[in-house]
Amino acid sequence: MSVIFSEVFLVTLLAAGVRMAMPILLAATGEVFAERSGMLNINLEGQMLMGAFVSFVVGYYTHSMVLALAAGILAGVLTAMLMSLACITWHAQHTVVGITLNMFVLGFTSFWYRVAFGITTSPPKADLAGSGTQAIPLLSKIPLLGPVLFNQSFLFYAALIIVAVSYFVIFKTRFGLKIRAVGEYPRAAETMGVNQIKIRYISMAICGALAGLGGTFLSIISLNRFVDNITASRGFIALAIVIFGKWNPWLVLCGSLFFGIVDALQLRLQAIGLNVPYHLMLMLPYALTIVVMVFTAGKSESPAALGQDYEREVL
Amino acid sequence: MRKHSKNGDVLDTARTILYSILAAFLVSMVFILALGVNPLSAFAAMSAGVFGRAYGLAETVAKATPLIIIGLGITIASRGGLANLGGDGQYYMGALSSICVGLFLPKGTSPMIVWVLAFMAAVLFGAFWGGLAGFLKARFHTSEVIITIMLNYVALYLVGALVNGALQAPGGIPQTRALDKAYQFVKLIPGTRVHAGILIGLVLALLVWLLFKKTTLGYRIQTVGESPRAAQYGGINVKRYEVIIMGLAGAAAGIAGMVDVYGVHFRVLEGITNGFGFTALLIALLARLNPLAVVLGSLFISALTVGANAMQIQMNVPTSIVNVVQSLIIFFMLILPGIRKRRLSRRKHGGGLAVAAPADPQTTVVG
Repeated sequence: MSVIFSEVFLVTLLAAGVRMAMPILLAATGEVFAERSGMLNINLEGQMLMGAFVSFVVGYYTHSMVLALAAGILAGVLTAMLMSLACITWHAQHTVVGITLNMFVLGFTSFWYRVAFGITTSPPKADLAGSGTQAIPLLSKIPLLGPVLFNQSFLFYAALIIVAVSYFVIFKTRFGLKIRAVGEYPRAAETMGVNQIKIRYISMAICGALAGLGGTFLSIISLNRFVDNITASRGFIALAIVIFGKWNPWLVLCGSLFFGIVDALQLRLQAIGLNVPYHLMLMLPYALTIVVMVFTAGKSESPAALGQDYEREVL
Repeated sequence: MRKHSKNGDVLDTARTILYSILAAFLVSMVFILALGVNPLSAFAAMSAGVFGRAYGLAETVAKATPLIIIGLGITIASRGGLANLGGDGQYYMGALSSICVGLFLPKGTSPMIVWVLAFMAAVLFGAFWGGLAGFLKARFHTSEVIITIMLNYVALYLVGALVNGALQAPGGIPQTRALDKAYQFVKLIPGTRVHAGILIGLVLALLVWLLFKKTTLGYRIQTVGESPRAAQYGGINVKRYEVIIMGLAGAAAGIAGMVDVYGVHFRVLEGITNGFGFTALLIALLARLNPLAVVLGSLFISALTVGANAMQIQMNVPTSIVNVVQSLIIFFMLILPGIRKRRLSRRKHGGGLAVAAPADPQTTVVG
């Protein structure tokens, strides 16, 4: 047991935790935009999965990190636009459409993966340049904090900036005010001259981009491969974290890190051979999500028009 | 849920479903074309795989059995306004509890007693797993969508831990011991996998249909689904009903697990459900939450699966095309009414400014 308390263990644990938090953090930050505008985007999982798949395929064939990232983001946006068309333009119900599109993406990615790579026992790897960690000079030499925070993938540094910018946009800009107004009271927002359709579409696009980026992190940076259903409901954990984080990007960051570290902890504990069935370890993040939901769901106030369709009045 | 009072409504619904199926197949044809396979010969291989041999038809019925039963539960949940995405977890709990009954009752117990007890165990544990999500929603305002998905994983890994641990059969393979031959369901058609479970499915379909047609319970579930506030004013304890509704949905999925264990697998291992809960949800939507139509929808989707297996073997088209087709059918069903209304209102108002009246209420059934 003493190994758990050594500094090496702690550093590797926290560093891995930060890494494992990334896909969830990016997706959850995106979902904050969507839900703040009133879109209950259950399709988050599908947007992540599509991003993970498309970025992997593009990365595998072009060997370009930039193209893979762009493709992953685009794939997430396109998936989000399907959901937006159905729910905003054609007024279908958010939850059902989200679930249906998740199934679609699962089938779509699995189909084209088989077509592109066949059935293999050793899944192909993307091995893109830049998928490793990038140590920041000097800062990464700080004891404990250095290796945990300043020797990560470039996407981690980008994600921190994204969180800060998201907070600023949502709470400190006119555009953010419009997003929140549409999510709280679309009719009033519309009366004030806010085009709620446009705002919801843009918010969904931002969400799709970030979810696609989260999926991209998973496939080409974290795991270096794609497998069916690689996201394994991380999109739904991200949904829970948005509630836990009270629709605030900074709190979402805290929640994601917490989950990442728990996820890393169960992997570490498996590795040092603790005498607990490893299936029960795998269960941990999901069980934890339930516990966290129980303690936070009733206490956080969701945007008032979340999941609601809005019809323009016919004059 | 709106009653089909007029013939025109039924026709409208039928037309929407038909168009959606056609559109989904058209899209999948593009997929198959992109593989360099002739879609028509692929579809021919598909239908030959189902209708061209007794095995295909029997397999269709066998595979439809758990889908029917889970789909009926999801019908109850969705009519009650709740989204049950936990079919897989509830199925596992039913499978797990019922196999324990079969394995641990003293040898020589009469099969009838084993079956009844296994059935009751499956109902109990499935209902608990579903009802838990309902209880947490009622008590702590958690989203049943997220909770049921998480409970799927908890159940999956519970099964994993048990078949690798306490319940593992001798031999090192991660699975439980097999059921005694005497306890396995009778095959309805010898030499196939069609077993007595399909009869349970059909009886349940009838019962759920009666539930909504004839009973106060069904009426109340429906009311809670349509308007929780109105239900509360009408004296229905909505919170209690959330537990009941999810409990019923879970019980059904639990029964499906028991039926599959006693009829098909005779043991429990990881992966005996392969996303059945999600497929069943799509089926319930395809059936527009009509319990009798759930039977037809399950047979249809199951035939697609059996046909796709044949298509994969002969034409090298991956079976995941089924997921694409079935999700697209529902997607088109969800958006067609909106598209139609939008076009109508465009015509009426001559411009693009105004948007149509609310979408078809039947598309707003879950959650």
